Amino acid sequence: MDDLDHIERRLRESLVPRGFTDRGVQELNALIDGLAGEEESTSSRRWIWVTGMAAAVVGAAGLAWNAMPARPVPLVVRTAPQPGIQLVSTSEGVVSAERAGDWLAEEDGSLLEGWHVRVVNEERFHDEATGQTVRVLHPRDEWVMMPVSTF
Amino acid sequence: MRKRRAKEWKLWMAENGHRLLAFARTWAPCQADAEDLVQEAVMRLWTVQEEKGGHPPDLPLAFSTIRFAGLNRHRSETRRKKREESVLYLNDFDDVWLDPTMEDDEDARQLREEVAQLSEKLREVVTMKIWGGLTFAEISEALAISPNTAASRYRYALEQLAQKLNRTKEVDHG
Repeated sequence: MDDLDHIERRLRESLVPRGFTDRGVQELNALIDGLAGEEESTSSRRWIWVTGMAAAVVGAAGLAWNAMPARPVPLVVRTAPQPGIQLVSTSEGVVSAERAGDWLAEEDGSLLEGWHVRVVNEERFHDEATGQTVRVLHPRDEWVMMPVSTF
Repeated sequence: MRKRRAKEWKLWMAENGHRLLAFARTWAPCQADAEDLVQEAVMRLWTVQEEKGGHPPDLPLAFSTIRFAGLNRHRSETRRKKREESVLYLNDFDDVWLDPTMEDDEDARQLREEVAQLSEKLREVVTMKIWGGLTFAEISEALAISPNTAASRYRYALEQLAQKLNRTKEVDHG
C-alpha cells in the first residue's frame, strides 16, 4: 500500500501534463467566439469556415457519430454554408525530412535508419456561391524507418 | 446572451482545459492533434449543451466526448496505418505529453515512460484520476463502467507502475 501511495504521490508531484500552446488557446477562444456568433475577428471567421467545411467532408465521408450521448452533429448546419461546397481534391506530400540519428537492425542483418518526416495533407474545397477555393492543410510528424543502402 | 455564453465557456475552459488536454493527449500522437481533439470536443459539446441551456458540460461528459472523438480518429488512423506499415508515429520523441517537473529527475523520466506503456484502459483511468481530477464515480460515468471497475483499474495501474519501477531499481543496483 505504501508503494501505491508513493507512486500516486510521485505521479502528482513529478509529472506535469503540457498545457495548451498559445496557438491552441487562441484557436479555442476563436472557436468559442465563433460558436457564440461573435464574428468580430478575421481569424475566428476563418476558423469556422475551415471547420465547417471539414465537418462537411467528415459528414460526406459517412463517418458514424451515432454513439454521441445526445443528438448528433448539427455542427455542419451551424457552421458551414451547406449547398455548393465541394471537395475538389486531396493530396499528401512530404515537406521536410531529417535524419533522426536512430538505427535499427533487422533479423536478416539489414539496417534501417530513422527519419523524422513532416507530411502535409491538403484538401481543396470550392464554394460555388462565392467562387472561392479554400485549402485546408493537415500537417503531421511521422517517424519513418528507411532501409540503409549506402554509408 | 451569446457573449455571456462565450464568456462562460471560456472561463470553463480556463479552469478545465488543461485536464481535457491531458486526457486528449493520451489519444493523440502529438500536442497539436490533442489540441485539435479538444476543439472538436468543444464543438460537439456546444451543440449538445444547447438543449440544456447552453452552459458548459459536466466534466464526465466532456471527457467521454474527447474519448469518443479520439476513438473515432484512432479508427481512421489505424486504417491509414495499415496502408503505411513502415510508419511509426511520433509518440515518444521530443513531443512528450508528460514533463518531469525536474529535468534531471531520472525517476520521473522512468515513471513517465512507464505511464506511456500502460495499456489504454489503465492509462485513461490514471490520467482522468491524477491529472483530470475526477472521482471514481465521475470516471465511471465518463467511461460507462462501474465505479468499482474504475477503482480496480486505477489500483492495478499503480501496482504495475510500482512493480516496474522496483524492478528497474533492482536491476540498477544489482
